[in-house]
Amino acid sequence: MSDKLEKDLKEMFDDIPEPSGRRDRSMFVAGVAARRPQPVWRRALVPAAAMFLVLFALSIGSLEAAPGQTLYPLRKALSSVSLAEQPVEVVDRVIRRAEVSLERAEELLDENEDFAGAEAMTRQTLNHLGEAQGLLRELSGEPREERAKAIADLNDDAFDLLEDIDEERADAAEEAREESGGGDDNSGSGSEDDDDSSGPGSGGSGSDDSSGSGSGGSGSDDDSGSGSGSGGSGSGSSGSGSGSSGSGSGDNSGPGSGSDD
Amino acid sequence: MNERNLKRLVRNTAGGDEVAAGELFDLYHPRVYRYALSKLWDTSAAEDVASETFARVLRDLDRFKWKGAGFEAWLFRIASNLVTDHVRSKQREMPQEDAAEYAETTELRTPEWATIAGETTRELNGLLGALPPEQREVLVLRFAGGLETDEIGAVMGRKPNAVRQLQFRALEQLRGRMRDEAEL
Repeated sequence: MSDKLEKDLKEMFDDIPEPSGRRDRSMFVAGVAARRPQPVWRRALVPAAAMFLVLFALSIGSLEAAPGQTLYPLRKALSSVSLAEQPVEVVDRVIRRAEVSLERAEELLDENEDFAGAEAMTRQTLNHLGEAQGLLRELSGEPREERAKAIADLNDDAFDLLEDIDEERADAAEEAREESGGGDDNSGSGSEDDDDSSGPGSGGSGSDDSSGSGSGGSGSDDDSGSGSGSGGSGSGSSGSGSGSSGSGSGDNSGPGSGSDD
Repeated sequence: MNERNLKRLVRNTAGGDEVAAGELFDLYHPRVYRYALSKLWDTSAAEDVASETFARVLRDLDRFKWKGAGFEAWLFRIASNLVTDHVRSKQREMPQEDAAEYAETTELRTPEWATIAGETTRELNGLLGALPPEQREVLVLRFAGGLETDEIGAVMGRKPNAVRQLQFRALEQLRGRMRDEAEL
């Protein structure tokens, strides 16, 4: 009796039709396959790649780090194992960048008469030179002197170019006024007014003497400083001065630029 | 399947072996489904429970430790908990009086397969539904799930002797009722 009852119970449950479960089976098998442990090298790949990217980004960021900057120690460390450029290479690259931007500024002025563009490019040159000046601290001896001279020369060229830009801009403005019929305004250069200060003359600090085109002025106190600051080429008290105040650096090795009128 | 082979199958499945996973699924999915259907009498709910049971196996297989009653007890405990969750969630969806009735009659509702089954099956199905819940659970785990006494004990949280007693009483009750009906 007992055996028959148990047999009947078993048959009853065995009679239950089975679901297809095909989809569940596929999902289960696929899920198991996805759990398969990956080889060690593949598991390490992602963290290694992430670390490499971080180091790469830091290395790039530290390429031109100057002393005192956050990434400077990293650059020193990489440099010590020849993974980063030597200081002299970095300075040369920055100087080269300044040269390129100065050439571009000259092109803009000469070929396009793009005064604003040329002026912006020249200021960029001065920025590069300031950066190169900061990096000079890492050099010594002859390499330092050579680079300091190159920076000073480029600095002079940049300020000369700024003056040229001002002059040409003033000329262009005058021509434009003449073409438009002149007038009795006293804004033009060379008016008969004795105290006319509206001419294109650029004075260092806006003195009455507006005939000169001095530059310099607001550089460092030290006369032999890098002088990348310019007193501006003020065009008189009522003129449209475009004084440029560069980035002065107190480094004695820098090129001095002209003095104020 | 003997325990050694089952251990190997489970170990290989945990290690990502697709063939072992398929074999394990084919071996236990029908049993889990039959168990769930015998408890819920609802084919769609039983399919959901079986499906979710294997999803949890997949999720927790790493944490499974082979001790005591082993894999089958672990698997059916998961299914048993899911069945309980299902009944509770159904009850929550119903008004209070209907929920109480649902809890009482859950295992009395006749599934489609039982209505077209033979007379003995229909009779047994009715008698099974009239058993106390624990006795019914033992028989369902035993005959639908195919578990041994130790494993049933592990699923229900009872000692093997208690399970044997429950099974004995359940079968005695069924036998008595069948005898009564035969006399009528």
